[in-house]
Amino acid sequence: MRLLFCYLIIIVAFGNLQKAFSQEHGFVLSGIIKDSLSSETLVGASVLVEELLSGTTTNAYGFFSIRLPANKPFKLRISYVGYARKVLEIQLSSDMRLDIMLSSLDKTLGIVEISDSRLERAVESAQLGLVSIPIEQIKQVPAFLGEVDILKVLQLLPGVQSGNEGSTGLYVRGGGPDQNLILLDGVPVYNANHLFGFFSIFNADAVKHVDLYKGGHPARYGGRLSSVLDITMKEGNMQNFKAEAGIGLVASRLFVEGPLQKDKTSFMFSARRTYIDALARPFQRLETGVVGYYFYDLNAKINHIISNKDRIFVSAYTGYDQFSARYRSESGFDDFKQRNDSENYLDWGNITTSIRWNRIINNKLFMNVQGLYTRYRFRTRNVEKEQVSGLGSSTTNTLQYAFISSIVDVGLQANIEYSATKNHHIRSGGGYILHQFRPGTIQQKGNIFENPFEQLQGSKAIYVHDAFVFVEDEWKISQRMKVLTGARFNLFYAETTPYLVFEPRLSGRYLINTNLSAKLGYARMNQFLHLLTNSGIGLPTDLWVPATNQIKPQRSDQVSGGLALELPKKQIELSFEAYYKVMENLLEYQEGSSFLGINADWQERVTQGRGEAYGFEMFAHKKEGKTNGWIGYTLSWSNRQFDALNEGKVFPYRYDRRHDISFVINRQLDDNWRLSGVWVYGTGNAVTLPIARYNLMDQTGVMNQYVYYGERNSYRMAPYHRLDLGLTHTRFTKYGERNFSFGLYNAYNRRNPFFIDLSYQIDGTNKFIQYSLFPVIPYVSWNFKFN
Amino acid sequence: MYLGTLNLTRLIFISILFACISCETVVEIDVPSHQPRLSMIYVLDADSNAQTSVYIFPSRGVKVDNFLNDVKSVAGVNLQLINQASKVVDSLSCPACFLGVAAYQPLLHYTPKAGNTYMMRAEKAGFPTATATVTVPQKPELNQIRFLPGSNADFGQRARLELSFKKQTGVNYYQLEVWLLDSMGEMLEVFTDDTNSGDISVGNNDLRAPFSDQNLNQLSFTIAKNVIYYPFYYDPWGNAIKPVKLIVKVRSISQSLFLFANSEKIYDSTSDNPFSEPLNLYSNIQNGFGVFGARNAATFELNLTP
Repeated sequence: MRLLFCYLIIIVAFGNLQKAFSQEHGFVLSGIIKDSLSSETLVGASVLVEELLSGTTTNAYGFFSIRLPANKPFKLRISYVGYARKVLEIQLSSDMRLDIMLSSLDKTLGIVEISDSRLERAVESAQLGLVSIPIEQIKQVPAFLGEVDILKVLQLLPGVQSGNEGSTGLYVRGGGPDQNLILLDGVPVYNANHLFGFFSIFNADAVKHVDLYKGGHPARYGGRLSSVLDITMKEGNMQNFKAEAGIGLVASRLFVEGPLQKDKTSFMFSARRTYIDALARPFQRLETGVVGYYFYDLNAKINHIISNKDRIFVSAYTGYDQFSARYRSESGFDDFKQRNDSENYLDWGNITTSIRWNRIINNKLFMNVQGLYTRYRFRTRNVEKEQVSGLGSSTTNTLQYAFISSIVDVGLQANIEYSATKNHHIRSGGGYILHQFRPGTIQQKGNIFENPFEQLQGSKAIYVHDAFVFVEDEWKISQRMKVLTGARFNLFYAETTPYLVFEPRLSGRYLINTNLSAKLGYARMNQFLHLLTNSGIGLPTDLWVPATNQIKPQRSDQVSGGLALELPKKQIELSFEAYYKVMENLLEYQEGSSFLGINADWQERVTQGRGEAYGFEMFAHKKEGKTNGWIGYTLSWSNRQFDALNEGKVFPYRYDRRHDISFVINRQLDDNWRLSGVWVYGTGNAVTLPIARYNLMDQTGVMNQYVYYGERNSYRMAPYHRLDLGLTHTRFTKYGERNFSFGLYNAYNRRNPFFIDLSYQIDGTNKFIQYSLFPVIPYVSWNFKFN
Repeated sequence: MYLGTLNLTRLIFISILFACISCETVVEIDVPSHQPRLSMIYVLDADSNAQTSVYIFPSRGVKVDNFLNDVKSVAGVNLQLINQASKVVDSLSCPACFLGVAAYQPLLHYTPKAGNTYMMRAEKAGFPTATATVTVPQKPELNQIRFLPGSNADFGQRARLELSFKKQTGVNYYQLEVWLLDSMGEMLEVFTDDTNSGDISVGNNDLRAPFSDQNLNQLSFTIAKNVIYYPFYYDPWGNAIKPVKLIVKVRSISQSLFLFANSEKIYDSTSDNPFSEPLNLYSNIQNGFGVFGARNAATFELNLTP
């Protein structure tokens, strides 16, 4: 801790000394980059000084700050995905604030051409393992059942693997699905799945920007081992009211934004709901049973400019899934009637809320303070209701049995960004989060013969304190060499054990020439939360539990390195990265254990071990032009070793995937038609299958039969491959635009393995049967934009 | 326009047709074949009066049919017990194995010695040779036994049982059997529903569950449990005939038996749960299945005052 403060003091003092010699060391240009029509701030926009071949990007609030030599003319090239580039000539004789407006290409040319400004700077950037996918490009990729899904597009990137067929789980560089820090406007989301993982909770209409860090994690992020997925919601149009709507096969969407007070306050609201339940309801009767399922999600945000320097954002998300099965029986004679209603529900959902205050303290100093709340809750409920009437009176008895598990976070965090000198850009901050865990509570309540009662059993709430401080320095050592150094201290206090950890972070690049750079990075990460899962596909039954006196936090050390190459004439960017990661204190269920009946004794059913992952990734991205897309390839290994599993021997991780290939292409055929396609290939998952059976008889003559599974995950399923095709027709109308999308999921009807089961046949033969989930599935969707 | 003539309705129709003819989602797959192995429970008893019986069965690949109806002991296995000087001290044979299910019995009735290590070797053509080793544990020692009668329970009698063990060196594993003898000569088994166990964790509802003295450093440790027993006889006034003697049989068991018993318990409790992680039953037999274990028992009696 002392080292951290010394470091800060030295940097700040160094910055103040520089101020005295600002003529020699230049002045600071800062500002906010916005959309020219909506005034929406642009995250990750590039500000490049052509003469110096250096630059910066805007932060999550559109703010940038760069120090330039005094009294010299410079050309600033400002660019952002899907926007026309702007070149400005600047000469500074003092610090200057300059807000810059960029014009969207689709408004000016009528066609969306994708250009990723962040990737444009991949060669120049010192950051390793960062991928920013433009939201417009995400929307162009063919979608399962027509529902645009951010997480499924991220699965197409090298180093990111999907779990099972259709699942939105992310497995980054050999890590587990719990090792991804998913942030929505800076607030952690604990379960990002709808419908058992077939859809993610992120409604693309409401999302402005997506960043995925696979390695070389900046120190401002912590708490997960494998990746950080930072999603920023739109802020709302400051100028005009706009709306978008979409009708799909399974869900419909609505998005509205506009000014509450022009140039001062804006809002954004989006909603999405499935209607499988409503469509099926007319065909079902309570007497024979009514089964239903739906999910919805709502996003809302208010953005208020207090002054030129101050801004406040309030954002919220809520999503909910519910499976229900209801049944009614009626009996009676004459005036006597009895009616029994039985209702069973399985529901889960997240709520996140964030309040943020941005302040531009001066041209060099930017501050952000955030209060956050997030809750994930999973519940199963059985409600029995009995109504008896007769002889002029009636009685109603109710009995409800519920199993509830939840995690709630409340926190406050703050950070600053400081352009100390022309060679140092510093970020620093800290925060505190209070976690409340309820791994399993059983609730019984009811009203029997007018006697109400309520009982709670199972695990009590566990309160855990989590505090952190961090500092990052983007240090330009020379024209060719730049490093991102960082340090993070985390204090996690669970039960009676405090865990204090230090996490060094370092990544750097060496510019070999203007189109080629070499990069190297190291990151240590700690994770204080564990996910107890049998499936690994993000079922709502997965339980989040904290590190305790007995259960240690997870830890990883990752080294990665690679080359970034630009082919400017062909507008292609290439990156090659290799990584090696070791993970300690990973958590798994013990052999024979499952989530069923788990509550207070979960620590007795788990075991801890280590993991190792290494691999090589290749990414070729054509970012501009009428034809754009990417090819990704990953060669990887991911193994686990637990003393209590597989007799202590090393075994492959369930999603150990030797080869993973993705091919994504979008082709703008003309002003109205766009064709897109995705082809993926992945080595089959490693699974455990029964191999043999045997009988054992003890000395008393009692005989039992047992199944032998062989070594854990020793069988490889067949490879996974799939082709998706999509075709979109866009028509520009008086009110805005209308597009109609049509496509095929799994176009050549590949029977990809979902799970394998040993089937006992009537004729006495036994067979291993592979079940597949999705054959070729067509989709259609209609989308409307109202200007 | 590229697709001006393309009829979207036709496209939708063709794709739905595609989906309908492709609803087959089940495919049969093949897995590597399994070489049969010998499976058995072979327990060495340091008690010279104990009878050793070993049933040996073959394992079969899961695709083999009618396995349950085809249970037969493997005949002609050369099963030997070898001491730490590599000398064969006993051989087991099964003359009745050809009839179906039958046990291998020792020919020499050798009594294993506490503290000695033994190897088991089972050979049979068509099977890999199965081997395992075990060390016979020392006889357990108790410092004190207390039995304090308590209140009546539903259909039974409550009492407090306290056993003070003398801690032996290293990690030791035990198993208890507790009985009462009433004045009519009837043996009454003693049960427990107590979750507390004194110094050591013992099965909550089963006094017979094996336990270990791992993590205990003191010279002695205590098991203290509320127990319940069900009287067999009642006097004409409905009062239970009181027990006159407490019999505690304590077995020291090998680690292999302890791990096997725990593994078997988990297996039994989760075998019907489709969500449970796959579990291989514990085995210390190389190239085989089952367990090779050893145990050493001591019986203690306490006269109860009427």
